[in-house]
Amino acid sequence: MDKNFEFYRNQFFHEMRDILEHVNQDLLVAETDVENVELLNSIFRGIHTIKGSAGSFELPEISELAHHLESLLSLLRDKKLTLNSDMVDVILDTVDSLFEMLNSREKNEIQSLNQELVQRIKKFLPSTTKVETVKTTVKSKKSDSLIPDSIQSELEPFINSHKNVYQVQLKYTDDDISNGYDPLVFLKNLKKVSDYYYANPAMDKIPDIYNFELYKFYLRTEIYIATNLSKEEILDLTFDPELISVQVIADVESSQNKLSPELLDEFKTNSLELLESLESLIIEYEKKNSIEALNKIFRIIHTIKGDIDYVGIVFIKPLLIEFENLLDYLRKGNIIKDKKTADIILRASDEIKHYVLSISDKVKESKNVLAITDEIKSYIALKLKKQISPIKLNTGSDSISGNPKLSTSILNNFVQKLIQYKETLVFYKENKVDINELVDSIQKIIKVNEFLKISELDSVLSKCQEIFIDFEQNPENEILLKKCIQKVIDFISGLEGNSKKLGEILIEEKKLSPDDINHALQLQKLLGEILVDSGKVNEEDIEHALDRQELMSIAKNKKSEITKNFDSNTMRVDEKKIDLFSNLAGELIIARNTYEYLLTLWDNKNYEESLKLFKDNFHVFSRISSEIQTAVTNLRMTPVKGLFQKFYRTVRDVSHRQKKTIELLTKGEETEIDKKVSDALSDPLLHMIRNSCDHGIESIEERIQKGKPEKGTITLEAAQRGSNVIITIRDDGKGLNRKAIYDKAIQQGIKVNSIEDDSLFQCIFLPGFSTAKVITDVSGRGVGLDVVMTSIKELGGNIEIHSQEDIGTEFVLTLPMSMGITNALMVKVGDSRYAIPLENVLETVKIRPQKLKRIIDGYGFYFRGEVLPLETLENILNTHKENRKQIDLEDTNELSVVVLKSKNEKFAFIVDALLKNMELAIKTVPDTFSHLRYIDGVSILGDGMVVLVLNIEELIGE
Amino acid sequence: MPKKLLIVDDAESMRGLISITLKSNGYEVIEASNGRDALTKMSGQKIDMIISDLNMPIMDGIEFIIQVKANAATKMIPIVMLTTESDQEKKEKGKQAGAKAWMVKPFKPEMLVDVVKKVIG
Repeated sequence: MDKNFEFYRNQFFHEMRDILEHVNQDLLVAETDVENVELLNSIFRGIHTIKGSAGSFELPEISELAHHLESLLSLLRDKKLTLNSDMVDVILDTVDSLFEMLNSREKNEIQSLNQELVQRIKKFLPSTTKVETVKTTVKSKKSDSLIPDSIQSELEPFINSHKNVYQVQLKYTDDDISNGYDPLVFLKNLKKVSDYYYANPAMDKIPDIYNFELYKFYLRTEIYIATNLSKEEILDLTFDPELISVQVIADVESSQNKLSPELLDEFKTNSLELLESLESLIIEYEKKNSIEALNKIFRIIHTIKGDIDYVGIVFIKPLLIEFENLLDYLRKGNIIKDKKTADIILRASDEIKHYVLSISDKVKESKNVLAITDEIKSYIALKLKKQISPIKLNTGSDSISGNPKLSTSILNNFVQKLIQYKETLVFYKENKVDINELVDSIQKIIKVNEFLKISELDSVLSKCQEIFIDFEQNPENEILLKKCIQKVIDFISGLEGNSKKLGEILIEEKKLSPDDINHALQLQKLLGEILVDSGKVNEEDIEHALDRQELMSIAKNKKSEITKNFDSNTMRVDEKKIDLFSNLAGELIIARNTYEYLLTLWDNKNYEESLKLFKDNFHVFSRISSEIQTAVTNLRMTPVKGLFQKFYRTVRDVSHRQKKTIELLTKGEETEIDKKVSDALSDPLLHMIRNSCDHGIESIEERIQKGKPEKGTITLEAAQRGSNVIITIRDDGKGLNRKAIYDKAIQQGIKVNSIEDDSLFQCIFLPGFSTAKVITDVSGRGVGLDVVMTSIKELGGNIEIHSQEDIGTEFVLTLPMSMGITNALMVKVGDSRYAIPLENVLETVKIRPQKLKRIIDGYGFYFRGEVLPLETLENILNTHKENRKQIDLEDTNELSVVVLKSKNEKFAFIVDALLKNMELAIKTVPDTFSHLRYIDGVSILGDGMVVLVLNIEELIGE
Repeated sequence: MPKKLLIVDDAESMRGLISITLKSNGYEVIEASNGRDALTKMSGQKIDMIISDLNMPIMDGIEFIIQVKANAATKMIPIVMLTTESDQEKKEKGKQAGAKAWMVKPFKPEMLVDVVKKVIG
């Protein structure tokens, strides 16, 4: 695909996600602030944009869903409906669904429209099929004044037979006449198209012969006509619409189906865009027989069909329905393409285009549309009849091929389909449907049975097909067919509501073992999951049996949390930040050019001056490089706002579900944090906030009892402290149960300080420390707090807990602001240099060897009242035990010691020399060395030397 | 008696297309390649309508329209200008000179017939 297109498409996905997130937020605010029209407007605009853009990017299902949502929102915006929490639920679900659709599309998959959701939206909409009774009499009364009394009675029958009645006036100027433009041509044409034509000549305005000027236009006539034409069509009778004026007197249809001009315009633009792409698609389909093109055509028509309902252009709907049917048959292979197919599709799309272009302010009729609708209908009927025999052959060959074992839920799904089709059969028996529809249904049943392989059904169905072939030749056939159909009906009825029986049948048929069925029954999962999980069905087989898309969509139906887990590898950057880069790059080039100049200076042996200038330039360079470094780090920084805002939704949902009122407050949203950290924080934070809602905040009754405000509050706060970001989650709930945790810890043999110390709470992060019964009655779901702790640790962060009973709990997360650049202490051991992250370094000291004490098989020394174990770094890194370096306790030289802290311990290393602190750009360890766990990463120094960054936690562990 | 139309356009292919279309609809057609040529060919003829391009060598469409409208004998002949989207300014000039009808190029031949019918029937 076109690179440019890809680029804009990616951008589109970004924009859409942004919009949806905004909508999410706005909506939550709107729920509490129902009167805020601006918010609703903003939501409406967002969804509107999605609808439009998705259409342009050929994502019809997204466009369609957005469209339904838009209709609801437009009513809300116009205050025809009031937002309530049920609506908010539906809208939020729709937004989620849009998210999922977008994500699927980004991965080049299609998630089909969730019809159930659409129905839920539609429930809020006033029914569109309100047919107003036409009150022509009232209308004509209103316009009485326009019609001269003399023709009132003549016009009445035309008004009553739903003709449009207009008053037409000529606005030709004298100049027009003198330049040869004759109004009579128009009048003649007008008369031709009118069922009733009356011209009031207004003779009194024509002067007598003496005052008559040759080229002056006196014919200020008023013309009354009754016609089928629209106002636009009348205006189109002249070469310049300014030459006449047309006034509507009675316009029956327009009053009946008055279309909103805004909606219509929008519909026009959207559908014209779609229709324009249609032509090339049809040609592609014709030439290459491309199924993809056919699918696209189908989706376009489907979208337009959805739109017209909304806009209210009902006249064209039958055409679209037939058109869609035809395309559907083609897609499913029920009708096989022939020379005429592309032609009929092209013409149908042309008619739709013409019609759409021609509608102005009202629904009108068009003979062409009717003609093409009929044509498609008869074409479908003709083709379906003709193709019965080839399809039968296909069935035969297919049934020989492999027969996958099926799980019952899939089968149930198919049985449901059978039951649907059964209806048509029943209707046929009662002579309510014609043979074509019946053929269609039988075809479908055959398709389904290809998958089910129920032999009983198979034989009856092939009998049916045989009958179809010479159906008309043999009068007995009808009776035969009815008999066959009765068998099919009986069979399907037997399946209805009795899936067990189906299972039995299948066992009898030896298609499934009882174990298989039991297994499937146990897995009360959705079809999609079974499809994916059990692997008992492969996709190809499904394709044979059913339209693939349909099944894929079911497979997708499992409630995925893609929205939340979506990990995008791209990020948006503030333009200002980019500008800064351009500036720095400019400066960098200047500095480089200075070098060039300085080198020539050097060549001219101007040593002293050039050396000075070299030094100057070096400073310029170091300034620029450090600025660039800051800028790069900065580039990765995003405000926590984006992260925080997701949680409004979480809090809302959880509080609704638990019937609590909880408010989420966020503070310090502008605090910036590395995007990687931010992404990785999303899940742990979500879990903690859910915890706070679930376990922290009490039920309303409990809160009232305790004299607390009914509404619970959770505060999410971010602040920067040095190179760390502190995120606090605070609730005013019941707090942690200190005593219970203490008892539990003692019981599990965990070493704890005192019951008063907040470090006690760290226990709840321990894996296997079951808090469920201790702290709350409700047990948490999903990841436990130990997982939260692990992910925070992975980010190089830490969690502290403060809690007071009945006052609340506070989780304080300390996280590094950025990843990648670390301050490190460089030390020398032998010939190598190592880097120790500064966050692990407590202190560096120089001590005399005499002060060391032997402790068991190592050394120790007094350090600020504690005895710290001590070892040379060389020995720790050296795996050859026999070459261990011994410390010469008699040596007079001082030893360089680094005091380190890890989670719980302090430890000291002896190194050969302490070098300086440096900022290091740390790269991850190449995979080949990843087994060396005491190495955190590598970095390259200015002189090209590689240093290893030590992972102190791992080292101390060893 | 068939109506007689004058086609003024410097592009031979264009003239050809227009003239074939009109002839097949029962009109009589005279062709001219620029304004001067057209004025010459008009003399002594009874012309019912003029279809004129605007951008032509020797005498352009505007000058031609002005000349036609300045002459009392030809003033009453309705004119349809052939314009392109970028010709707005010229189109206005043509309108001032008395040519009220126009067609934007490119057009389908049937549309031209449609306009002719709207102007002279």
